[in-house]
Amino acid sequence: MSDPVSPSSAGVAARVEAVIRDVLGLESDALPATSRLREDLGADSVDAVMLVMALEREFKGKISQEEAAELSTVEEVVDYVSLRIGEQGLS
Amino acid sequence: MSRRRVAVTGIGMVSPVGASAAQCWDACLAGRAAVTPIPDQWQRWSGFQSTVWAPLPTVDFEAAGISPLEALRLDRAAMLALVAAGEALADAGLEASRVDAKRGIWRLLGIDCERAGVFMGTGGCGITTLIESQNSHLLTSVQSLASRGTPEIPDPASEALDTLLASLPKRFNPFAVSMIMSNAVSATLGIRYSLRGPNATCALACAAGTAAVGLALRSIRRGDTDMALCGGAEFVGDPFGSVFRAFDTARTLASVVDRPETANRPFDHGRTGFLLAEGGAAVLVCEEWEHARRRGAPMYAEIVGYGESFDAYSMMIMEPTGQQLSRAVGSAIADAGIDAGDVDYVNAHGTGTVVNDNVEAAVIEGLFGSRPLVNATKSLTGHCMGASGAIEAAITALSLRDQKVHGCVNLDDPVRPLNFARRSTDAELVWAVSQSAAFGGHNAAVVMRQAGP
Repeated sequence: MSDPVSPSSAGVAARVEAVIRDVLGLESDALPATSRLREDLGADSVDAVMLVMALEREFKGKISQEEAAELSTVEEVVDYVSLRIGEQGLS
Repeated sequence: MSRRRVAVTGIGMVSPVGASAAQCWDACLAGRAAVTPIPDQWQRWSGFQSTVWAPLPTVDFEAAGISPLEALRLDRAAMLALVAAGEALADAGLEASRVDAKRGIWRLLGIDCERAGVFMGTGGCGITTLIESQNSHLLTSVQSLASRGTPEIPDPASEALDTLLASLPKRFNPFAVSMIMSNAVSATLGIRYSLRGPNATCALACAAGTAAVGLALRSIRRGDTDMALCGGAEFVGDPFGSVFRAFDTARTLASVVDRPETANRPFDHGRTGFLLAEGGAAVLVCEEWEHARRRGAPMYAEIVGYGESFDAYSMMIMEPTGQQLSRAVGSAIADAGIDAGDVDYVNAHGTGTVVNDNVEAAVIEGLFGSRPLVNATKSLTGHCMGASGAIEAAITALSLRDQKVHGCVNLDDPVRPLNFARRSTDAELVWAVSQSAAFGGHNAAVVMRQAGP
């Protein structure tokens, strides 16, 4: 078995963005890192729950709904997921 | 003023014998029945009287337009309903355009969505989600304890626990409520296709699908709707065999003495119970006759009558004289404005339980004599519970269109000298009846007519 390779931060950002697009049904135009999930992208409370489940599915691990509720922009979600990957919680 | 007429213009179906209406119908005509041993892992939790069931084939949900994310928040029964509805609408020549990607909402083109309804039947709807949620609720803390090491647990118990914990979902599903509630089946279809007319779920167990077709007929006739999706959906294949056990403990299921393929034998003297199906769904597109004609829709059959009654006798056993089942079928025939002697084909409830088949065969003989062809679709598909009435209504419509009746599998020694179709046969069919009876005591029947002018 090879050592776990830590995914590049650009790779994580792309995967997180793809998940956000999927959950919010966004077309493929630009998704600025500073976009706010609720105010700019129209996420509602059901989307917030769905986003946690979709991220768990993509990164094969568990994400706390309470911690996720604090994330408001795309880059905050990317940073949070990257941090959790560093902690071996996600892959 | 003449009564508004109702046409069946599209059919979609998933059952243990096929993942589309065409596959199901081909399998029925070819006599390819579904029966297989129950999963080994169920037997870890209990011994069973019955050891066979009818699992579903692989269904490509993504190809049917259900994204992997959507699948996280839908019970399998609702997903099967979506698959059948999508097939039925395409079959009816109705196109949809997407109006909301996030919510997965489409809109049917050329249909007044406020005059389009949804009537679906189900028995347990989200029962599998309920079972999985309950496990998550009770065992997540056990999982956490177990991960810290529990050396005092004896080996066999520890192994059982490991198996159980390995099956736990990652989290308690936050969509559990909307997955479990019975009306999810109808609501899912209404949301998907922006259908804003009446939207109802009949929770009438094994008669649910038939009653849903009846509701659609009445709604269109009354003028409340011009078009409706109707049918039924069920999924009871939980990972632990809990639902199977409930029916097994009640001694309702087919037992296997020798060859599993002969266990499911409706209307045969040697029957021992019904073959539980993992699930299924059927959706019929019903349209007001002129509405269908104006857009040049294909017509399978015309729905011309509906009747229902209630036994008021027992939750689990059909009333032994069959008086109320007979009254339901009789009132459907009266509603159609025909005589019982006109009926060419009866798609019977035909579960394969000792009581049902005795009573139902006597009811058929009493109403129709031995002239009409009789078969039991459950001899092929097993018992799809809340979907079964809809599957059988769809099979009845297909029989009228193709002028063919499928055979009744394993019927060697009939309980009564009815005109049972033992194998697939060509037939001249104008009027047909599909009838159902349910736990609780609900009886329902629809009458269909060959599509004509």
